[in-house]
Amino acid sequence: MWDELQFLSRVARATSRRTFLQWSGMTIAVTVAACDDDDEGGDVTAPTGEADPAQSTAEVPATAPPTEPLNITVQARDSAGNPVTVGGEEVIVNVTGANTEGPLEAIDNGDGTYETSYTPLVEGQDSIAVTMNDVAISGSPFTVTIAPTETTIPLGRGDTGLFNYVYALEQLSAAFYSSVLSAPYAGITPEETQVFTEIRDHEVIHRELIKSAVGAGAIPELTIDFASVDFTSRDAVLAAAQSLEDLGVSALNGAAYLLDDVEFLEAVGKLVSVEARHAAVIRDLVAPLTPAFAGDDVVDANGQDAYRTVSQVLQDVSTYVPTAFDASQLPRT
Amino acid sequence: MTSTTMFPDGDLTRRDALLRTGRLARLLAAASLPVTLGVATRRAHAQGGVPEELVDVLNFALTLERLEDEFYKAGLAAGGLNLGDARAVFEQISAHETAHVTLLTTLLGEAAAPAPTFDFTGGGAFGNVLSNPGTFITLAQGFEDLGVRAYKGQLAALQRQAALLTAALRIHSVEARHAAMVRRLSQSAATKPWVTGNASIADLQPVYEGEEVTTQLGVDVAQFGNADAATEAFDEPLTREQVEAFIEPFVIPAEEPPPEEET
Repeated sequence: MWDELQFLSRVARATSRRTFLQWSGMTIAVTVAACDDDDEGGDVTAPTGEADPAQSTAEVPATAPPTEPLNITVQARDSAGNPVTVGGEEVIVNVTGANTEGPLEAIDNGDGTYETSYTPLVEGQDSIAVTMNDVAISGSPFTVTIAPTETTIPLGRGDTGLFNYVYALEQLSAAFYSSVLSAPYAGITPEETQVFTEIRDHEVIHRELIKSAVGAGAIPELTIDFASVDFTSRDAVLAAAQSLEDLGVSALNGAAYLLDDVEFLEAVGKLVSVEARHAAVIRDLVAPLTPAFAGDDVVDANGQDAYRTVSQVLQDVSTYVPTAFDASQLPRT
Repeated sequence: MTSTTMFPDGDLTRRDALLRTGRLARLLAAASLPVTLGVATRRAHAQGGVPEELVDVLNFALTLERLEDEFYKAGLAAGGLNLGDARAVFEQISAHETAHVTLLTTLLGEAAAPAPTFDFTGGGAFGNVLSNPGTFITLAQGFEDLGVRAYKGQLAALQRQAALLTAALRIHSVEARHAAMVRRLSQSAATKPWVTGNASIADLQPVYEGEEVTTQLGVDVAQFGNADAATEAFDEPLTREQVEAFIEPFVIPAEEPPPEEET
């Protein structure tokens, strides 16, 4: 028995785990210096008996992205639920549902674990049946949702975070006018084409300047989805342009006070008045020679333009940008 | 975490700005509610109001707003000035300038500078401004573009006053909307809604000095597009001295109270 305990103690030390050894009804705690709290309380009982399919388990993700290998790892366990440390079982995986695979014979790692994988191509739900020696293992069949991975784009902290926020808005604006110009609506006038072209050029310059100012901390190029805009309709294009320009003005007005570096504040000041000029022109295209260019819907009774918080703006941006932003590190005061 | 849960109260900018500047900010908050304008705000000012070092900055803005306000009032009232289809535009601009004067005088309270009177001919350079729509629109363009650059030049001074900075920016972008619209009314075909290089019309050249720069944050932005767009994409600040030099011919200072007679 002492030899056994010494062996298990070495195992515990080698795996840097605090391990409770159970033997003949007695529990001995073997603690090693570099203990891993995540595994606290994990029991290792030795020696183990033969693999019992009904007790054997598998690691299968609940969700997985399409077009990437989905890994399935099976752990053989004995009738008491303890891991078996030798191989030799036949583990078969069958996938049905959105994707169909199998039978796949899992690779025997020789240590009680078995691995296989498949690459789902279709989004939806897959049912993964895992058998050991023709008997379903614990939890089989497993259900996996095949869907694109939900990620968030961290904007970062401080002025970098705020400039990333501005960078996102400028990316959106520049992409919008590029889309307008790549397939103009029927009957577009030369004046309208010139306005959209010049605004597009301004937004591209804004975008590139801000990207350059943020440098290595810049967020990536955004995936932008304008499916909700009917680019064949003049009304729809102008309405979307108006809301984007007003959004830009109110976003910069609302966030400028959070900037620390006075040069960044002054740069935002230089941008925001140009965005306001854009907004006025677009509004005048919608309702020429009316008060709309600085309408009562954006300018309040004190003659002040709208302003929006970061969270309000990002909510609006989400109409066009499916990926969420993590703005939690932006300055708040 | 999702973006929507970031600011639980959904209006952090406003709330925070209020917290930061205390009485002054409460004053601004009160001023944004037309119903409470008046007694409540005057009382607030009596208790504190605008920081001493910013009184000058706000009085500078107030002078510009008074100039614009009186200018549009005079234009809309001038029987010989036919603004035609543009009348609704100038009525809207006029209403905003009046609101800006009210907001700034409310903020300044007793510290507000006495109102000057104005000569909209600028000492004669714009002699027919109240009878010729083209001249009126030209000078309106000058005042609006000047206003944009004037506020921009004071952002650094206002930086650590969140409520005042945000108020100034919100006026500033309205001036920019005005500027773009007035430029669309220009009789000069080359005048776009945005400022290209330092291009000027008539006697407005000082308003556009320095607008031609293409270096922003140390970066040559001409590399990101064509030369015109590189200047149009950014409006540049003007110093207070530059702004005052331009408006000097239009402003007749308020008379000092006469010295008391010796008895």
